[in-house]
Amino acid sequence: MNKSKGAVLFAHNNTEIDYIAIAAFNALLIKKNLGLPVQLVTDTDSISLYTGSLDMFDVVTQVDDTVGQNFKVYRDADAKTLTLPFRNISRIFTYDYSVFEETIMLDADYFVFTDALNACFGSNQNIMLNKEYREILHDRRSFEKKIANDAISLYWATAIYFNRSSESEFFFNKVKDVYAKYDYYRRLYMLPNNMFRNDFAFSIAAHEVSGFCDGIASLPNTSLLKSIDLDDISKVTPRGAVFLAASSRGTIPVKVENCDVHVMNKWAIIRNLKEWEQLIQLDS
Amino acid sequence: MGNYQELKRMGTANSAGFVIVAQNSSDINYAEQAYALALSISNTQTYTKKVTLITDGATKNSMSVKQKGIFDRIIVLDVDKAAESSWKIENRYRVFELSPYDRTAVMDADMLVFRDHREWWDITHPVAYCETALRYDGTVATSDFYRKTFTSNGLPNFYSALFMFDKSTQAEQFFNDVKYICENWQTVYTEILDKTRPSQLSMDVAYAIAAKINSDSAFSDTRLAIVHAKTNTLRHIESINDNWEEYISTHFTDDCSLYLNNYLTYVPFHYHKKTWLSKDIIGQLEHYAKHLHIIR
Repeated sequence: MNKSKGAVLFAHNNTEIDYIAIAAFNALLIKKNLGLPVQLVTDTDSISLYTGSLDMFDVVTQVDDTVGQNFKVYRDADAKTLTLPFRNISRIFTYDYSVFEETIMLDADYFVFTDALNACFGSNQNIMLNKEYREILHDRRSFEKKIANDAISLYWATAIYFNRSSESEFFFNKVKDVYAKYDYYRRLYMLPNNMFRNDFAFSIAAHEVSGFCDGIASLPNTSLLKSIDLDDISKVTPRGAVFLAASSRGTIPVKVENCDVHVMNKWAIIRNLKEWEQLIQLDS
Repeated sequence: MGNYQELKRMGTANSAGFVIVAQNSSDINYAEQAYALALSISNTQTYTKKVTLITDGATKNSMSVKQKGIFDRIIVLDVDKAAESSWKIENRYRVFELSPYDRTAVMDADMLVFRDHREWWDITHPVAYCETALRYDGTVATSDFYRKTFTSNGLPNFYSALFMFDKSTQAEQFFNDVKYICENWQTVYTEILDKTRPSQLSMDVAYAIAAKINSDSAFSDTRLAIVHAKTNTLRHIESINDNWEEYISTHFTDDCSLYLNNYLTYVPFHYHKKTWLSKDIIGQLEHYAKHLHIIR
């Protein structure tokens, strides 16, 4: 396998959310639309909870000692709300885990329906990540641009490109340092609480390594499109989905096709996974 | 033109320098601010380190030998039009007449610079002014919270804290207009500004009016940008609290860099709040100047 370029997905299951299944689906999309090998970073417990096949992944890396655990509120539209373990720490070690020379690290649920991310490869930028996010519902409140009031810009760890370089290594070393000294950094950067969040750690790293300004390049051709966990999915297609987007005006159907999209309602994904996979395979 | 001819003789051909007008009030030591600014200029600028202070006799006499030594020249006003004022701005327009340089950058005393600004001296307009105020994070401030009269009257967003001019007839005409506006501000305001007009003389407004009149010789230039420390200019969020230090923390480092809420500042900082300039900051500027062998 040519290991010069690839995608890395992280998946750490809890008892309710099968992140590996979600990652396997996204791996199908990545292979189809980006033509990239996919590395899964997971752990033994998650694999034991997963009943499917790992064949979609070209590389599986088990990282039991760096998983960590936070808790997060998960919502399935307005049907249920649960506080569940959210194991998000291993991502700070991406530079160490990735087997590729050029890597696109993605959230497992950032579904790749286009080839836009291929524009990252061969860039003269060693590391790229986005500040801007778009909502699938255009008039819904947009996401915060700062990690706190009067603070630094919020960079999203949803989709990151990096290559093997001293700059990228320095960046991830800074991310690890933020994690190790989170109590200090959260006070310095006025973060609201002590819960470690990758977006905040990556934002601080992006800020500091670019000279304490907003100097990190954005992913080319990519403005991150995002739903929220109050949205449901009413229909899936080979190129996207029809969301039922929650808004103050009621539930609004929104068709999202031919766009990469971050689907936040995990239960909605799981409910539609089988049909989605079949449609995509038929569409190939 | 007062002693302009004499001062022109004193300047050398193609000379360039900074001018600060600073006169102490009963409660604010503007000379100390000017000294700090002059130190920061000496520490960072390479095109010219010359700084002329325009002041009154009492302020000059209050300055220490060390403070006076940083300036290229100290010019004492022959006539002090601000003698009876608590906020002494009435002499500011005399910078054209009194500057000894062919090309001058005028800065307010309550500012500091942190890097070399050689690019300023590539500007060739007879009068070039700053219209760009930045927030703490380097983004361009868009609020007109403090500048309603500029918006309402279509005035250029002139920040007199930083502007430049040369000794040309066009610049001279500009300053003649500024002088007239300053000496007749009440009439001028009433005649040409709407009800948003300020209730007292404002140099920003006076210069803006003159810039609008002399639009063929006075131009804004984006190379002239400042961080303007007023709460609603600094922040993205509007507030009625005028104390910007409640929202934006500052960190002044040993190498005389400034961080505003963890953003490194690359343009001059107009701190406004007189208490912000601490003895520590002045000490660090002096220490750095000694390190660079600028002062002993």
